[in-house]
Amino acid sequence: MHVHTRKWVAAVLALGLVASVAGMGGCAPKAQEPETPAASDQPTPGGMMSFYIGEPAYIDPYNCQETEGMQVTQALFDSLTNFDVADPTKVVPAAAASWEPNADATVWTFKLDPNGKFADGTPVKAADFVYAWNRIANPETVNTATGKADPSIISYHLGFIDGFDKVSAGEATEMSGLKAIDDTTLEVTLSQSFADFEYVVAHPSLAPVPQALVEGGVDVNGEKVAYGEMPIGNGPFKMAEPWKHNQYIKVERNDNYNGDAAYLDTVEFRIFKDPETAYTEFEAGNLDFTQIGEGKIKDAIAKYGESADGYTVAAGEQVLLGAETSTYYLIMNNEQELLKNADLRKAITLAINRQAICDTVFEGTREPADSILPPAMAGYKSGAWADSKYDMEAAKAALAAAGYPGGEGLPTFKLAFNSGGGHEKIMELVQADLKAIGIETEFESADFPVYLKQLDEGKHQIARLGWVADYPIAYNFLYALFDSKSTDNKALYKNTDVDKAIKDAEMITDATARAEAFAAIDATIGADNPVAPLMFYKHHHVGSDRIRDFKFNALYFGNFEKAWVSE
Amino acid sequence: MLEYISRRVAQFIPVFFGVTLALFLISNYMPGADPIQMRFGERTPPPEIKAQLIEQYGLDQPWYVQYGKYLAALVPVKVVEGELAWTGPDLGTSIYTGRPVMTIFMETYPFTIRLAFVAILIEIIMGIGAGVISAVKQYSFADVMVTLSTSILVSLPVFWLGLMLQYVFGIWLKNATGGAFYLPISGAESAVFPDWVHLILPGITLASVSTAYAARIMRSQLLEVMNQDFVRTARAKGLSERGVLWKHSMKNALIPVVTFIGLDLGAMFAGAVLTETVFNWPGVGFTIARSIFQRDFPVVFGGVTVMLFAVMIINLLVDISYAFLDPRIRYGGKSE
Repeated sequence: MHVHTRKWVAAVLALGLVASVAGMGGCAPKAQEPETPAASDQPTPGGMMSFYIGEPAYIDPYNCQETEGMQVTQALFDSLTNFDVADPTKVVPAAAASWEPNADATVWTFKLDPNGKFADGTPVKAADFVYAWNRIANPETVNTATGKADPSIISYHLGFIDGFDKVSAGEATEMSGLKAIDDTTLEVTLSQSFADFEYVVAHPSLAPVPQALVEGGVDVNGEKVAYGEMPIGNGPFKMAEPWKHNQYIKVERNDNYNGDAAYLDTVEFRIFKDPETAYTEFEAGNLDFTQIGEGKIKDAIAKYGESADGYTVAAGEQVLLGAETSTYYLIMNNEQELLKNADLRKAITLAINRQAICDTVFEGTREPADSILPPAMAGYKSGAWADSKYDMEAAKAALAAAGYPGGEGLPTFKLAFNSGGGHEKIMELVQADLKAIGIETEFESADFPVYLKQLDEGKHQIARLGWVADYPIAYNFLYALFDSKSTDNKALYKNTDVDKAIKDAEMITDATARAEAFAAIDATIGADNPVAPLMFYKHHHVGSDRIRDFKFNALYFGNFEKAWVSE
Repeated sequence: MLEYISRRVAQFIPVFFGVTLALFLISNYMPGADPIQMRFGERTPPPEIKAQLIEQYGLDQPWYVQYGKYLAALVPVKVVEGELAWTGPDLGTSIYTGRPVMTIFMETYPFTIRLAFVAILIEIIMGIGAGVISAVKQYSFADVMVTLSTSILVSLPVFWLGLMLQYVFGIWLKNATGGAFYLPISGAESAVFPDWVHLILPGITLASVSTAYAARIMRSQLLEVMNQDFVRTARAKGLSERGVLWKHSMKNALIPVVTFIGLDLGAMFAGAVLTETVFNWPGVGFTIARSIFQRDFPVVFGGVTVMLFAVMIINLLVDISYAFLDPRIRYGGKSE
């Protein structure tokens, strides 16, 4: 018996050994290239950079809506302008060489770079912008993958253009305010003054698209591929092959690009289901840029070093913790009987220890918010919302001034949030802070769509929300969140002076003066405390030590065209 | 046999209607069933766009109308320009991505099937092998080791085992060998490794718990069969131990194991959410799980429909395999 046992065990072990040796043999990298240190600090063309994203919903610009798809789109396309990599509060020329608004910023004239080309070599004309934008506005636009109508959900970017309403209502197919004067001149007439329009047109979704390829498909080895699977753009990179869903999107240098040629041969956007797995791949040396897994920020800083400016990856300074253009805040229903009381709202906002939330829940990957406007935005001024800070004594005093000393006479407030997003930990700290000054709260959580529906119905008292900027302009926050007519004004804040001031600010064509005007509006709103800004989001990303000059800016865009690798 | 298969297919009909009907009712009456809002995140959708999308996906219609349309679209033969034509079943369009659901599953199912077959292969070789050793060498060191290791495997959370395998074979081994030998951590294909190498770690992870169960079932069944009269008779006839084991005992002991492995294969065809997530495997499990979260109902319904058919076919094959294992089982007559 024992002999047989040994034979069996030996056989299993031998089998395992053979399998593992075979496995290892088979798994030996196909091309082992020894890593060599950079010969110099000068950019060298060549190489590949791998970059983590989740599976995008769309990479066809007409419906490019989330950060995943926009990473790819901004590598493939140049819109009229671009957000400046170094300072995203500014825009720089891209497909448009120059542009000019009229005196009240209602008519914008863009002069296109005459040498601009799509990746297939066809020139980029003003008509391509007209086609692309009408395609976004038209609710009957078809999805190239299905041939069925699939309206863009980001058509609001074009809401200011004359004739947009008619097109979006299906009464017209072309916006009357959009004209290709000639091949290189695009004239855009807006329905109201909008001096920040040069920022709107930097959005990657507003890039030009070639009509023939959108409607006829893209030829790949003799087969037609839907444009949405292989968009051809005018950016520094082009698709190397059709989108491999749930696996990767590979782009390569576009030799027809009119701007400075990219250094990288290819960028591989590797699609992960879970950032934790992506981070494991990074740690194994198989990925160049990713999010840092939950709870691993301090460990990552110890291993890879922290970036000096929070946005640029350099060897030994690889962890990015720069502020993003998004804010996490509590809304207080300004139409609710008790919360109409400005002193009560002031007491609530003063009572919350934001630093404790950032430190205990987020490992320092959030920053206490001192304004609704995040820092990387024109118009932001440090401490603009004077009450957006932790001051227990001032909170108690404000509560007394509100007529509820020590919280006496106040009912228990409902503290609402959407379930499943990790908000409960934050709300527990908020609840404890409010209790400390005498304000009792109870949780009310619901699934995300139900939660948003409850907010729409206006029955909430105190609730959480987050806001991410599409463009780094104050209007994008202040109009959306506080204008009386905005559907995203869930605090139901109404101030006709603020409404007018926002509209007037968009008539100011001087960028500095406009930023000042918005800073003043921000401070005015802050004095009313309609919401309690809690935190600014920050990057929690890391890059490998082989990538150079790579910036991942506050808007979540990487400058792939400037990056290079050291091997 | 044909009659048996027809009967099993007929039994599938109420299962199909029961499951799909329940899904439609749940999706229509569950709170927060607003897939359009999910596309807009925390923004308020423009009312006209929201209304158009609702109409386009038929979400404004009563559930029974939606259900009827779903069933009609499943019929592979449709009237096209006045004539009957083979169009194939239509599973609808994803609300979240605007892509045809059939395309989504045509892309993801091959990965799920590949992973499932590798896991099942591991389960058959390692599970049955360990169970046989354990039973034949009852109370030996090998038996103790099998019992111990199966207990450990059953207790290990799948995602934890996956993470540990990734760390050991993907990071530690790579560092220890200076990058000469290691296994891919995630993904289904890469420029570095042949495709099959990508299956090793997720295959082991997915098979782990089931292999342990298969070994336990094999052991207990074999021990039970080996104590029966016909085995004693076979031994008394002078048959060798090997002959007793493989010709008599195994055939009888295998039926519950085959049933278990068959059911497991069916479950694996429904996707393996944890394994797919940890190893970034582009299979159906994660696709459906994500679609549930996004309330992307056409993808959920499409996934469940494909799963139903897959499980039915596998169960049918398992039932048919019984006849080859146990000659007493016949499928022909009504007297069965």
